[in-house]
Amino acid sequence: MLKLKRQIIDKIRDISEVSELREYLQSAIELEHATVPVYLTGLFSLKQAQNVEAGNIVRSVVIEEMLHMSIACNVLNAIGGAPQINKPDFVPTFPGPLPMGVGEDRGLIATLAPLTKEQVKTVFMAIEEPENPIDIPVTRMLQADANYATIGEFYQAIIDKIVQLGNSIFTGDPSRQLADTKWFPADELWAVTDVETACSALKLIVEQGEGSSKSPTDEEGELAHYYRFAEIYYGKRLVKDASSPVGWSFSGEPVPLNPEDVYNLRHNAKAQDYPEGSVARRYAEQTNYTYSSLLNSLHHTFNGEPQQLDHAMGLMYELRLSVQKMVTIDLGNGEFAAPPFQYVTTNV
Amino acid sequence: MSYLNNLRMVFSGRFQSDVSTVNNDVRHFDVDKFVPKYQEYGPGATNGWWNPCGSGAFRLIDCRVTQVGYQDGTTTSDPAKDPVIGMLLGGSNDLVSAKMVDLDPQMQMVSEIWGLSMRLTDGKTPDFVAGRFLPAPFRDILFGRQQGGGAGDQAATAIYQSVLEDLSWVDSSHSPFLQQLKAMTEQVGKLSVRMMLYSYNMDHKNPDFTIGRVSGVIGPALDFEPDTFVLGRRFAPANGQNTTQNINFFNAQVDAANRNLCVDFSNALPLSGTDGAFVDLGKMKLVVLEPPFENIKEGDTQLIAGNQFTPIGGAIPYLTPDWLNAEGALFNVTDIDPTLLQKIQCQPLALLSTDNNGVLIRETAEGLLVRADQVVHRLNPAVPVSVDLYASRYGIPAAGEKIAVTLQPPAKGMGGGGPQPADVPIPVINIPASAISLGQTVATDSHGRAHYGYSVSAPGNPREYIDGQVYLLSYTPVSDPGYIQQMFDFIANLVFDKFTVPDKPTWDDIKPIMSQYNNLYPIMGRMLVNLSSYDSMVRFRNLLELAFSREQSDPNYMPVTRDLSEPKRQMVLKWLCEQDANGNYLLRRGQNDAPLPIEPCASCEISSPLAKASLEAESSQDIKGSKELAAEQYRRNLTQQD
Repeated sequence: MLKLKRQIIDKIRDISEVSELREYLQSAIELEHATVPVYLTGLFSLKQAQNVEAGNIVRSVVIEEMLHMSIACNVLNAIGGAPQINKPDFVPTFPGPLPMGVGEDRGLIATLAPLTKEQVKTVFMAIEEPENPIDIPVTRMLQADANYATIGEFYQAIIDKIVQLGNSIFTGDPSRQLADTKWFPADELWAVTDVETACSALKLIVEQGEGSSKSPTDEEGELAHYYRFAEIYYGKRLVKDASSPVGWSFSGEPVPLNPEDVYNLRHNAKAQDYPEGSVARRYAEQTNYTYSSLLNSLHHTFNGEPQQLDHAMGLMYELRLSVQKMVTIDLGNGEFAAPPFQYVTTNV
Repeated sequence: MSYLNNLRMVFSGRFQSDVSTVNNDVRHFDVDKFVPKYQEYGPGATNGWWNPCGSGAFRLIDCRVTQVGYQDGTTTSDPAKDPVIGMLLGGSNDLVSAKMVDLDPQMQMVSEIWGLSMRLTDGKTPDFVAGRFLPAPFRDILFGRQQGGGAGDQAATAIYQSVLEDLSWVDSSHSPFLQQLKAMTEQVGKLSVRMMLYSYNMDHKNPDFTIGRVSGVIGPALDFEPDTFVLGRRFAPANGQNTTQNINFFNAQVDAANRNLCVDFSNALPLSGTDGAFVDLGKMKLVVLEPPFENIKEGDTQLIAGNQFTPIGGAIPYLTPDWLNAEGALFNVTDIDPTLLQKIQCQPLALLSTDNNGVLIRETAEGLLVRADQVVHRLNPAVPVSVDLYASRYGIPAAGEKIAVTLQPPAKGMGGGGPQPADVPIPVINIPASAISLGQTVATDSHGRAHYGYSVSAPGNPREYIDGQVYLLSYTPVSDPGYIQQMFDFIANLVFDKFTVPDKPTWDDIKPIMSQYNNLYPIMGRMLVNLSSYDSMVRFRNLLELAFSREQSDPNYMPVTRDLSEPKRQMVLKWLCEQDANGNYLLRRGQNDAPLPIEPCASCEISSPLAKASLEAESSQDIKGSKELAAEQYRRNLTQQD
């Protein structure tokens, strides 16, 4: 599990005003979003109709990260806040640290790079590593450091604070809640209106991300993100295995990741990296605009127009179609064009 | 006064129209005869034509305000005088991109822009003004207008004129222009917009593939004005297509109260290249013709001797560098002498070459203009339809003008070209005539407007492998059978077949429809949802519900499915949304089907440097566009009937 400075946890514990709590929920939203460009770049690096299993795994995690972001927005709205999503610094700079300095304990640098086993191991699995990963046969990457806390602890501190402050902080307008069952099932996304609905929603984030210390799955039997990515790294499905001391092993169906069928995308691309007038530049600028429109649309969604989520999802798919074309642009040096994920305000 | 008003905002920049072209050949709608190569690049009118993997997106890119005009006739291009100068005229920044869509493979000459939002922005503050572009087709297309720098449709230009509705404004007190515009627009609540599109790149090996240039103008829309054309003065080539110098139809408007006149040359004069510069046709000026002016014809010279014209304003500054982009190629004459103004209001205008006093092009006889406003219709049987027809003389709305509407004769060979399957016939359009019940000849009211009503019934699947039928209605002024019309000034209808939504639709009902779209829209099938696969449809159920539940004007509506009839759309939606008592989606299966394998599609890839070097450059003939071909087919039918 990536960690953040324990001071942050301490500060949350010291909160006496709901306004302070809102700031940490805004940070939670930014953190949940920050992994999306990283995972999407990996997903989009796969050639058409190739490495399908690995692609499905990454896609399933991306969808849950979006769910987690939505949950955090619901909680912030419920306590009278207003998520700020459409601003340049909402998006991390790649390569770089994640929001709140998450991962700095191990020097994690979030990078936009194609889906390779190395990227899965050093970035994807590092981001998602549970507090106590089950050794199947993965060993934990770093020993505990008392100066750092896990993201699970971060959410637990928020949960504790919500319980402590009580139902009176739930002053938000209920019409701002997103509880859309077209895109997310009702048992994953619900309206947050009080302590109970808020805490259960935040617990879902932790469970889906980390699983539990006893099982790699959450209550619904879905593998936690870390183990899903590990399936790509080990090239096998994680299955129950009586012969394994922990009851699980990476010995199931193959999960192939054939490097021949992955575009060697330029790492951490920026639109400005591509020559003006080139087709790569044009696609980079257009995908930036589409991505920014998506953030604008999400901002509206979580600031009083929940029906805007349909448009946000439409933009998500438009971005995908555009990027899938973009990554076929051969830059001529063994690299292929990659989407930059920069926030822009105009289509130029 | 529409966009041809003293009060106006000129912008220019680029656009992208990423239309898909597999559906450019009607025969590709035959699911049984479809083969995978129809999803690959042409060349020309073969296989999947020039952009088989198009998304349908229409986008405005880097469109900047270059000039504003005020009510008093003055203009500025100085951002210090008006902060609007240099701002961007953009599409939406929180919705998917707009779409460009043909009516039907057998009628591709009225491509409409759907779901476009336009907004004026500096990229920092909220949009200064924003509105929704009422879907409209291009008009006044001219092929071969641009010399050099492209072939086929690349050399064509056309006008999109429409209105922006549902306007929203933010404080514009720092801009004199926006203050005036907002005040003038308050009553009607919409703005008039014109976009002239040119230099569209159809070469998929060029970095600017699917990109073109746009010259735009926005002005107030006033009461009783049509939305999609200027009810003003109409300059018309004598042969109904273009003049000897390749001058196109164009429009002007006289504002008698303020004694000024504005002519829109943006779509009129031949272009010398791709950057919007005009061909040098010598010195030219605008004149009003003197009696007996009806005898003065396009091409006539030596008018001075007969004293047959009076000049209006100075020379047309069309050779001024960047006139099109900087000023929208609008020629304004202000402060017109009252005596001259009187003549202008009852005598025809002409464009004169001052080198030889030759009439380059003149206004229609008796200043007559007859045009229809809503010219594209997707019709389900038994739903009544109405079109606003307008007439004016010398720019003044004409009352009592009778306009006759007729169904065009059966037309063959539309919407197909090149070596395609020989055993798939190209259907004849405009048959059976019995499916169209025309109304009576109408006469215009005091606003020059007549509501023309007609109705349709189910055509009975005359085209067999493609739903419904295309019907083209001509309209002509009864008083002047020789009235010169632009070739595509007709009313285009796609009339769907009758269809009854099944009580409990299954995949067996849905699959034939979806398989057709999967064939015709490979970007979806190859990259996202295999529409012919039950499993893929189930997996993307929510996305498909979004695409099929929206209004047609919504940009999320899947572009190629605008040729889906309403009951069929309802059936798809019913199938996608039916739930059991526990809220689980039923998605009734019907018979099993084997999903088609999704194969990598070269047409969905952008040329790599190596591949580019190995590909031979396509000749001009090879990239001949679908529009030019469709126009040729239409013209051929007209000629045969003559």
